[in-house]
Amino acid sequence: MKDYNIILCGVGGQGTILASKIIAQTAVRLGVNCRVGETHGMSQRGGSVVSHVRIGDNVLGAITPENQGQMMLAFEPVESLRYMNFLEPNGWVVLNTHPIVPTSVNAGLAKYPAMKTIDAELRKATNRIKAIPASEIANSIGSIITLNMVILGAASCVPGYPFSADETKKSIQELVKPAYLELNIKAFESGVTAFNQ
Amino acid sequence: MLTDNKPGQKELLMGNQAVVRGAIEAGMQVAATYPGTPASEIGDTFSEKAKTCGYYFEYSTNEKLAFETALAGSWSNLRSIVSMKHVGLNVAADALMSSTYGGTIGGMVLVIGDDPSFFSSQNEQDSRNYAVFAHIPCLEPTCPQDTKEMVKYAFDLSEQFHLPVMIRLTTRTAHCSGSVEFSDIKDNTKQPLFTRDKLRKAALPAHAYQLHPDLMKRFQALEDYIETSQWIKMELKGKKGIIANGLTMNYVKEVLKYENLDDISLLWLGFTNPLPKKTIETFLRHCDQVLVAEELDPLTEKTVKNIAFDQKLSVDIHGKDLIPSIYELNTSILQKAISGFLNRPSSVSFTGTPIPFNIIPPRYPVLCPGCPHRATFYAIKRVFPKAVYPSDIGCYTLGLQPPLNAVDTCVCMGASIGLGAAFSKFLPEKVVCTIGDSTFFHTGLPALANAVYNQSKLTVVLVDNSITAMTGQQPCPSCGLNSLNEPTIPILPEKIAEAMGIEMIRIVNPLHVQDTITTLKEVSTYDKTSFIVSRSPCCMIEGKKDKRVFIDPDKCNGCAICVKTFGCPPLTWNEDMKKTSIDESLCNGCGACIEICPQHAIM
Repeated sequence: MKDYNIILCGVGGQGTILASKIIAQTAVRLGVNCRVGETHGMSQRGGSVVSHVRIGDNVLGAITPENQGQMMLAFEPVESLRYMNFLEPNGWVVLNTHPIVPTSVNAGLAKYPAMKTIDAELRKATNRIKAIPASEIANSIGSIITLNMVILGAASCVPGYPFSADETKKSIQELVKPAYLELNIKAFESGVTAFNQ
Repeated sequence: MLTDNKPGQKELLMGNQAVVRGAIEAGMQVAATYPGTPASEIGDTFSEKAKTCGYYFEYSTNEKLAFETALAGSWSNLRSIVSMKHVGLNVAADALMSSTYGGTIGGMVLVIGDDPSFFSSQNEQDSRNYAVFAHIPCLEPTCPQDTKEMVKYAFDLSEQFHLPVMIRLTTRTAHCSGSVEFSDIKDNTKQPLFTRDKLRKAALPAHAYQLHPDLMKRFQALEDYIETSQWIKMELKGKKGIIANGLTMNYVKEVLKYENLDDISLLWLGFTNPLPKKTIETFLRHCDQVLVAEELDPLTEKTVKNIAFDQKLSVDIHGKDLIPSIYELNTSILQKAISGFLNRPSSVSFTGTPIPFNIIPPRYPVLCPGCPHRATFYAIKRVFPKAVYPSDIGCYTLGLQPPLNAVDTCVCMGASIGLGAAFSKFLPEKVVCTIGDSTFFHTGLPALANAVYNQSKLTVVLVDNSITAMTGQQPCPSCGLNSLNEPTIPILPEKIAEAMGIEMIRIVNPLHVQDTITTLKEVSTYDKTSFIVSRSPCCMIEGKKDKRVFIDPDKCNGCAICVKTFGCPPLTWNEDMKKTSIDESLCNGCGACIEICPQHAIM
């Protein structure tokens, strides 16, 4: 299988780790080589977080080399900029439009850029940007906790994404507690719908 | 499931989980740890599976005790494993350095999580140095599958050479997930057996004197043995060769693949102490130019150069002249090094679109919404605005961030009281230190005894959230739960302080901000060691409270005291309105900010 590198970035607590795991679980079940690289600990809550899911026969290291990422799942707008160096030219970005304002901005030490500035900067790396109000969608379904499923749903629609929506849903079933399964699948489907709108 | 006895089954496991699977397959019976990133999930997983698998597991109160627990397991003829982060090994080093003389009996494995690039640590020491220092074997995996196999291998090796065997992980192997194929699980119901052998188990000078030659003999035998180990792989091709240890070979191979270079000879060292000198010599004789690729210290490079010198080989050896000796390596760093080594330009670009750092606001990790530590720091700053604030290792180290700015020092576990007591003896300022409950039990206890004994004027604020929070909410002695999360008697820090003879002891709930301030004022004029327990459970265990906290926009006069001195993340400053509001999706409902607003606008 041709290498496919996915960068998931956002803010600690947004569920990037479970999303990475669901993608990798699909690869393992289908017998495809994969690596997930992530960091835990200090940035557990509120800090900037990134994980890499690397799929394909040649993949060995846990971290995507810069300029080699086929897709970015940005759980928070400004975080997409912090890791945009990993994207290949014209790689795909699924962008959640809901900002989480860092305390540095609230304390008056920095400014949060306008959405159109973020968009313009991101377009220096790629024009394939699918911006969706993923947090609002998750909230309307019943819980912000399902944000990662909304984003995975949208990701499954990106041209070239290596796994089908059904295979991804199977992994969600394997990894999410049965009590929350229905809600999570609903969030995933909403992500699919949002991408196609 | 991680514990399934189904050989051939494949599961997605993180490196840390692969350690646990390897130990279970090897029939391990004793496991101990003190949590620390990047090794924390090893203990979490051991704790979770202990009842199902029937081995003994404990969260020891520090890494030295974890090491001793595993050594006791080994000396009871049981297979034992101990895990910790790299700096934990500094604490355990005392036990490690002397345990090797008498040697282990049941296989004993020491798993260390190094943290190149400082993802969650105060230094980036290269723990391979300890393996060299202590004369113990060291193995370094490339992926979760290797990790599992190496752990199993390490138990056998330990039993053969009677040495603890180190598995050195780094953040990138500990927190890397991949597919792991299971093998069968060995029986772990062996009866413990203690054999009296004072020579080997009582390290008196006369005994250790006799045992040192024995240690050297075992290490020499190990050096010969590893030449044919499965953890050393040599591929002889062209005259230019690369030697790489552990996961560094991943980056090397990726570069060779991207650049279509297939004539480079390769020597992979999964065994990094001792090094296979004969194999390295063969490699050096084959090549005319060699690059040694390793993260952090040039340990392999020095040995390779020594071999070339001893054997009078004229091979050209590169290493740290092309590869940095600080921070973690990656594929693009190796690409530059290899391109310099081969003196040819790269054909693939690993330079992405530049990051517009000038417009990206910093997003430092912060104390959680509702974290009681924030309220403690707030109160300390109100009563002691100009004090010196030594602190310690834990979530509360984040009290150093603006707007709290209530942490001046952080060195190692327990150093808040150690430094603080000393500062209080010779600085004119008041000294107020903060230390968490888990850290207090880790290395704070002897420091507190020292503070009292040497008549310090220190105010110790024990920020007691009844958990080891930063590493993922593991239980600790103050929480009333044991290592398997079953009820046990909590040890109260205030009782310890009392037993040590401290007369000024106060207990506050930091979420009652004004009461806390009043109590701290009482302590401010006291000139002996004082001990304040600021106790409120970690908001991650307590969860969201029912209380709805909001700001009345009519009462808010825009003074911004809440965002500029307290800074809880849900408090959001609205630049257009010049007022603060609360993001209710983030708010935990603790209500501490209510007492902070001078306009009584928060309710």
